[in-house]
Amino acid sequence: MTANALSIASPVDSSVSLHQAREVAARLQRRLAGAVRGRDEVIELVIIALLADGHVLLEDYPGSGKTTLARALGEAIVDGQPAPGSRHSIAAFRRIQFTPDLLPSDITGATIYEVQNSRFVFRPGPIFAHIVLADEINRTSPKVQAAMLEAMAEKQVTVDDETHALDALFCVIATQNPLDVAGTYPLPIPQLDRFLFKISMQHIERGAELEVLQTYPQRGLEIAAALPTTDRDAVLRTREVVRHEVVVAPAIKEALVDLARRIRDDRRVLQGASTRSLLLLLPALQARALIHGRDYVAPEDLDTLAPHVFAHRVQCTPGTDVQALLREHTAAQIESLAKFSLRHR
Amino acid sequence: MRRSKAGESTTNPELRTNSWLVVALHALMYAVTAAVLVAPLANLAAVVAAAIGGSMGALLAHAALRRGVSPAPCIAGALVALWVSTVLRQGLLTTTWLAHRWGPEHAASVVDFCWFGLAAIAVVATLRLLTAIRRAFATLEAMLVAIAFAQALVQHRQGAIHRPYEIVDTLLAAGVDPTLFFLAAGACAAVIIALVLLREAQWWRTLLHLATIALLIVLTWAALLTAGVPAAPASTAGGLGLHGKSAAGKSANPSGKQHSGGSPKEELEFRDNYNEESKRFPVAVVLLHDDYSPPTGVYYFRQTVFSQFNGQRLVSATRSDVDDDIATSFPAVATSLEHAPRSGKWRLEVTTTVALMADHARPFALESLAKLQPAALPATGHFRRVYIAESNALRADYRELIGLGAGSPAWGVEQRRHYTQLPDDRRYPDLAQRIVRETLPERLRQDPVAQALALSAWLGHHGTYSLRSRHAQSPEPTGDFLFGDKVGYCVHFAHAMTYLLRSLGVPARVATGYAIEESARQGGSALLLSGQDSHAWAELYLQSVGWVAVDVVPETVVDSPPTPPDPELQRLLGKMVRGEPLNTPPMQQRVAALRGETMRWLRRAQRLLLALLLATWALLMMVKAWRRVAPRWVASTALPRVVYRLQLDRLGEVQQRRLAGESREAFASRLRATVPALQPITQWHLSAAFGGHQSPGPAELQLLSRQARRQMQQAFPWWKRIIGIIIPWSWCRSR
Repeated sequence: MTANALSIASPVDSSVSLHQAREVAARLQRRLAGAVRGRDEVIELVIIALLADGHVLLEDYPGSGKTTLARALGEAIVDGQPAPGSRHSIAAFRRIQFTPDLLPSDITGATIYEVQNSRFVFRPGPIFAHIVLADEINRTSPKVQAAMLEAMAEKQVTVDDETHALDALFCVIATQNPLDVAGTYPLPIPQLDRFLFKISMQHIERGAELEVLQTYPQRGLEIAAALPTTDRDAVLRTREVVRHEVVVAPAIKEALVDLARRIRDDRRVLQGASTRSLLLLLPALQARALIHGRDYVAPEDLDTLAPHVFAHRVQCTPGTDVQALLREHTAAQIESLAKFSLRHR
Repeated sequence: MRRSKAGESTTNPELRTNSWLVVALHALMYAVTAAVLVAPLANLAAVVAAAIGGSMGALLAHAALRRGVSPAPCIAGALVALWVSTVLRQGLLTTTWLAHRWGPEHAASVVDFCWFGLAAIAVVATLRLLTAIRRAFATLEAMLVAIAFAQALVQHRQGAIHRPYEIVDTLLAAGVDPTLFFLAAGACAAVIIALVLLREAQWWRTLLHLATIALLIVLTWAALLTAGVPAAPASTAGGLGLHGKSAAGKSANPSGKQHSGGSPKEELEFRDNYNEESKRFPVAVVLLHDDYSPPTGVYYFRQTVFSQFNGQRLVSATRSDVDDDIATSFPAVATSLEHAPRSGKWRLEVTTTVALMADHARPFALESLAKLQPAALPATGHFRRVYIAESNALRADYRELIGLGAGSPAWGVEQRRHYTQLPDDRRYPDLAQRIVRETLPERLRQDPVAQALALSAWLGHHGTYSLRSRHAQSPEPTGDFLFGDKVGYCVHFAHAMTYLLRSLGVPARVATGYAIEESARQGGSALLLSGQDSHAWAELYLQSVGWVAVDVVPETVVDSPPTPPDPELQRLLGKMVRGEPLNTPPMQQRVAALRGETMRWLRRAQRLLLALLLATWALLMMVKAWRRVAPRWVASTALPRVVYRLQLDRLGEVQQRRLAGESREAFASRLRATVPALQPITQWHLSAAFGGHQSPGPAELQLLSRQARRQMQQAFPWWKRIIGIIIPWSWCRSR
């Protein structure tokens, strides 16, 4: 069910803002779907992450449309005016190719001496953008990874004792190749914790792949360019709406906590999901509810998002299928929510 | 290599990781089972061997599986071993060298010991290994155990009021209905089995088991209430009376084959061991029509006589002109025995009814049978054959008989010679004459009755009564007994008496049948004869009186004396023979009352169960109906939930249910092709449950509900929906 299903605006305020927020999400979704074929699920997750103020780690093969996806997202959010309080104009989209010889200053920016004005000025690095594609993030040294991840967590960079705030919209789409791991620096679990989702992408279906080829002369981004855009402020407003207007019932919160506890109590689990992950999951659930045209979080949201949120945070004994484990515990939680919903109150 | 092979072939890892407790329990169970199974087939040594073999088989199978040996070759090996040992056993039992070395009895029991032990090992190990290959073979194990114990209990099935079996008698004495006890035992077993089955991993299997058990209970109950407690079938067990080689116990008697001759039908054997257990079974009930007290204090029921000396021993007469006072077959019509002694001064006419409870080769009756006629069988099912015997029983005391001559004047030389033949052994006349000389006064030394009494007294004084004797191996057991240790039982005494009498020229013979003391009547007219009353005694012929029993009463008795019959059982069986109602004995009254009570209780429980079932059904249907109509009455806040629940109920009736772990939205999405209206209903329901702001009007929900119903009607066949509506518990599974 998409946002169009319940589209009659009611005179209530929250209803108006919900409607508008849904429209923003729908526009982003349409643009991305226009640019990248057969990745509807990933597109939805990326938009959820954007609206939930989180970052995404894509595990994918080369040439599967990651860059296209990230660029399309960046281009879908137009920004005429720099945000108030920011001294720099913000790019919509930046791509950073992470290599072993990359330095932290290569991404954060550096202070240089400006000859004309005879003073040091800060030249912002590529991280100062709405959407940053951190390509092959595991190829660079831990030092750079740490700088990048600090920026992701704090939404600011510190260069020469001067702290520069990043844009409020700042959203990182990082990628790593799941197979080609020679000479890489795998991200440790605490750093993986900074990503809201880790999405393992599958090859797209035959029909979608064929569609990509059939639209060949015209690039996906060109198709998407014709579709309506949204602006930075609208996205930020949408975030607010998601946070405040979509109801998370106490039962859902209980289910979240219970789920995390169940996972931690499992004998196969060495390290369970953190409380921060639950806190990150809440807005994600709300965002998904919004995208699906609801003003409340439903069990289905939990069912869909829990594996993406927990899979990279849970450390299991060797030989354990993490996905199966999560499915098992999520199913139990879904059962209890289903029982709850039928109960008389 | 072996390990990996075992990993493949042993598909049941559970068996290999059994704890020692489970293994010990298995061993114990098989020990008991094998012992119970073998007990009726062999002697004590073989039973012990079977018990040891049973536990060994279980332990060996466990050890083999733990070592990772493949079960299939083991089974083949066990079966081959079983076959080889069987062949070997046959060989050992039919060849003679082992018997020569150890004696036949020991040889037989050693071979039995080995064979039963080996067979138990092979069979038990095979069963255990089969179970290791496939779990389902555990059924075979369970069946073996069940059969072993069922066959031990099945003898009780007739209510066994006339059989002194341990459980039933104890229960009856305590005033408990045995039927109730066995029903309770069965119920306990069922409960235990049910508990075992409830350990299933999958809940639906448990449910299946429970349903099966419930079905069985209902079927048994229905059968019991319509047909009643199963009635006793006509008993076919026999071998308790004196018929042919009747009293042959479980172990083959080696001495039996040494004597050949005499009638092939009946033989009186000397044996060293009597199986006393089997002798406790009742064999017949005799009703005295007249109040008759025998002058000796003992009723002699004569069945067969042995008078012909064949050079070695006494056998049934082959001549037709002797022993003609014996009935050789059961009467089809009333028959009189022409040569029976007349009633009169010496004898009294006594009529008896004899009801046989075990098969007999020929009728027996109070001594000197005169007339025999068949009688109707009582309807109780406890008797095989009933006949009425008229006997001319001795009324005269021995003292009155003194002075009468021995033998009949009607006899020819051949007949007299027939009755006075004895082994060509000087010791008999020597001993007889010595006894007569030493104990009798001069004037009585030629009197046959006085001679007989003197001999009887001497034998009684010097002989020792024991069922365990050592004369059977001797070529002339009587001489061995009389001139040896003088330890023997009635057959020895009767033969010794006969030979001694014959050596004095008195015609004598050995009679067999039953002898029971008058006191056993205990004031009633019924006499219950059991195997332990079977007896052999000597008889001498007195002119104009006929054959008179002269029994020996040994003063030294090693074995325990026969127990008198249970008076209540005796009276009860007497009533049965007479066809009188049985309700007078207090025990029977109690049993009948208890049985009535039991049946009433069962009937009450059945009614209660039926009422409970009906109430449950009604309750379930009421709930179902309420859930059907609830959307019309509930408050609008509860409406989304109730409407959604209604859809779940309807879908459940056509077997469409949410899977475990499937979210409500996913369920609705799964059914969106067949029931599209379910999706908005689900949405509204979840919105109401999880705090959504928007809520639909009641009218809209009712409309959606009607749409969903129409869609379901189109999607699912009518009969499926009807079945769903009929089943009262369908809503219980809505989830």
